Amino acid sequence: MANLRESSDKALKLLRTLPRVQIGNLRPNPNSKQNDKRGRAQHGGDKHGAGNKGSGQRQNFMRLGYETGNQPFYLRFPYEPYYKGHHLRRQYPPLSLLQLQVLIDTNRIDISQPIDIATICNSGLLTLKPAELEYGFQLTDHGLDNFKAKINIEVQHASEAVIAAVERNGGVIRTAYYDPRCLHILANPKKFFQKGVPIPKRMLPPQDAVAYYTDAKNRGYLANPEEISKERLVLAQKYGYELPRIEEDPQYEMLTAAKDGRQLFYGLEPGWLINLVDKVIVKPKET
Amino acid sequence: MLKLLNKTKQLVYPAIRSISNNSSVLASAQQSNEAVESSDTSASPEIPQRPALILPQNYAEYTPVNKNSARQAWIENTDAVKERKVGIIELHPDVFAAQPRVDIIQENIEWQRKYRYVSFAHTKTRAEVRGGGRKPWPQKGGGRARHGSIRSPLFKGGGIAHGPRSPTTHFYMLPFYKRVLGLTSTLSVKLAQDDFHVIENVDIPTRDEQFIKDLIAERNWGPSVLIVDKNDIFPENICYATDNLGYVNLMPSFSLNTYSMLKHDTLVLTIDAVKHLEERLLYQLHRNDAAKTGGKFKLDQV
Amino acid sequence: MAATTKLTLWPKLSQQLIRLINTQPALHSNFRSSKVVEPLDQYPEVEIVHNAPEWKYVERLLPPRIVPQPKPKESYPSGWQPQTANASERSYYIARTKNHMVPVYLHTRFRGQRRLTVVRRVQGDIWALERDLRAVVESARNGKLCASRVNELSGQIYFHGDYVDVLRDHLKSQGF
Repeated sequence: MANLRESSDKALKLLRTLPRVQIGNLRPNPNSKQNDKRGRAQHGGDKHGAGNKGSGQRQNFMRLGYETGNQPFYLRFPYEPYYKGHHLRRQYPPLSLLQLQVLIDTNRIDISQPIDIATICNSGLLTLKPAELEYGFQLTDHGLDNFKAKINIEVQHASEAVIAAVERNGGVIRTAYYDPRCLHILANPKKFFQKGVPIPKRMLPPQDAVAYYTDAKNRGYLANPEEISKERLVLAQKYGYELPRIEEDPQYEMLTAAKDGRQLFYGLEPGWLINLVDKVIVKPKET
Repeated sequence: MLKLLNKTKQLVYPAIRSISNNSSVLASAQQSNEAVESSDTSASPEIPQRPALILPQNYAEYTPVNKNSARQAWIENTDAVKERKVGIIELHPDVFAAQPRVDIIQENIEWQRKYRYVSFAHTKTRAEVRGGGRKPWPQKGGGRARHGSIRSPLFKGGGIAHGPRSPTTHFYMLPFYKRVLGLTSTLSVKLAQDDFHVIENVDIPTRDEQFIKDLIAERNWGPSVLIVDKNDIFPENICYATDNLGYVNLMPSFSLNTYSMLKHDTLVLTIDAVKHLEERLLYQLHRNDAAKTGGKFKLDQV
Repeated sequence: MAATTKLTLWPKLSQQLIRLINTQPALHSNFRSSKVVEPLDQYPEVEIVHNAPEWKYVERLLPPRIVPQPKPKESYPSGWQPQTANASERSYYIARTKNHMVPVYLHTRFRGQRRLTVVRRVQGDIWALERDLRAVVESARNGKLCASRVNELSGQIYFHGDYVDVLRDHLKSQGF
């Protein structure tokens, strides 16, 4: 230990021999400051890089995109079919199985509890921007071979191989839809609780998403649970692994914890108001 | 041993380098404490004897990255002019032994000077200068240069083309972690250059400013002293004593900044201020939502 | 207050204005978009539950304050490893980042044409580390020389090229 002289130790020891660090002693890093003064005379001055005559020296430039009279490229096409409906297209930023495994290994995500958007955003390493049409996370297959964690995870899209990877380890995966208001709430639950607004109800998916979330193959949250069990067996046979029996698992309750179709948070019902300061829940009385 | 150390101004870097579970450090400190008690009873009978204030800190939450640098500072008294060591406090290396980044300290000083500055320099353009609406002489035939207005920038008394326009703000925000690093670097520099002292509390016996002057002269503290406590309300005596002294200033720990620390030669913190600063700076260095500190600075952000 | 006097002068107009303001809450002001407090009987009946059994679900939703410490495990399937190197073994030490990751990064410049591998948070004898790392990179390039730059004040080493995986695995094998 004695032979390791860290740079900070070395520098601090050196400072003891140098004059006191004062405001008048400091100077900026070399080459960090640019001279704002205009050049004069031969170098930098004279014509100031504007050349001779013409629109350049007279600082009367043509507007960007102007093609000296012919119809410019950016005005030739009245519309482009590729961006039709882009404002309605849902995006699902990817979360790879490798990233998920790293989060689990470094203890940023607690796998003894169910994982949803709120858990992933609370880790501080991933953010969701619902305002940019990001409707949740999709679980991708990068790092699929080394994924070895038994989790109860709820994402918004997952491919067949990913579902198989999660179920092979004895976990449970589900795909669920959240409407934009609920996404904003889930991306930052603490900020929502501080507003003092009761928990809203989750909305049902739009028409083009209903087919996805009612399909047992995608483990949709609106699908028939019996069909989901059947599909689990089908996948196990397809990918060649022994389907673990969740009923015999000591973490059975955690793995089978699921939100209702209209529920936003685990364990908390819509209509409740959470008071973080007084640590109190305000529940509407049953009438 | 303590008498010898009282005379010299050097800080002690202990041979024992580990900090967590600091029983070994405490044990050695407590042994020296017993030696102190036995030696000091004969020295000054009027000052009441108390057990020495050994203050290790629990860094379980923020285990130091620099495992080899442990730092400690003497806790000094404020009840008399003569210096007496009342105890010892442990300091976290990530705050008090960080790399002394003088370039980042310089950026912080520059930022503190500039971000609030509003330049009120103002010049009139050719449109604002009085007069100059009429073409002074016809375009052709005069033998003189052609002009449209006597207040163009070419003319004496004319408007200024690209002059200052008031008010001009020079506001910008230095990146968050540069500001944090500026604070830790400056604290480390102060500790390394023997300009750092820790006092037990800010209670002094009299309202007399001569007491403070004598104290500073006796202990060889720099001409200017910055005294930092946790709260912004200081006890009466020190307020009266330092009121007329422009070079001794009182500050709460939440307003600690690099400019003030370097402007004053000596930095004096109370124990509460040390703990508060360490807790805040270590939190910023280890917070979970650090990504939030990046991004555009909004004036109403927390 | 000039606004209110103006409104009372034309009652019909003011009523219409107030109706307009109430039906369209302002988008950018918390004050104007929060509803006016109505008589209490207009609100639904509530019960305030102290020490609710569901409070544990609320605590689960709150983010941790500081980065959690990784728990020791037998194996880490992702390839991540905790730091095992003690500062005493070698003359240099590479500290992990706040998120417990190895501080090797890829910087790209000139529109992706120049790739630089950066090793940060180096403490101790940075020159010895640079020699060791350059040997590793050059063996990955089959003996071709590799340009590098050392910044001792900030504890950084730059290598030309993309050798992030190579250097990261090397540092992990050394225990950093």
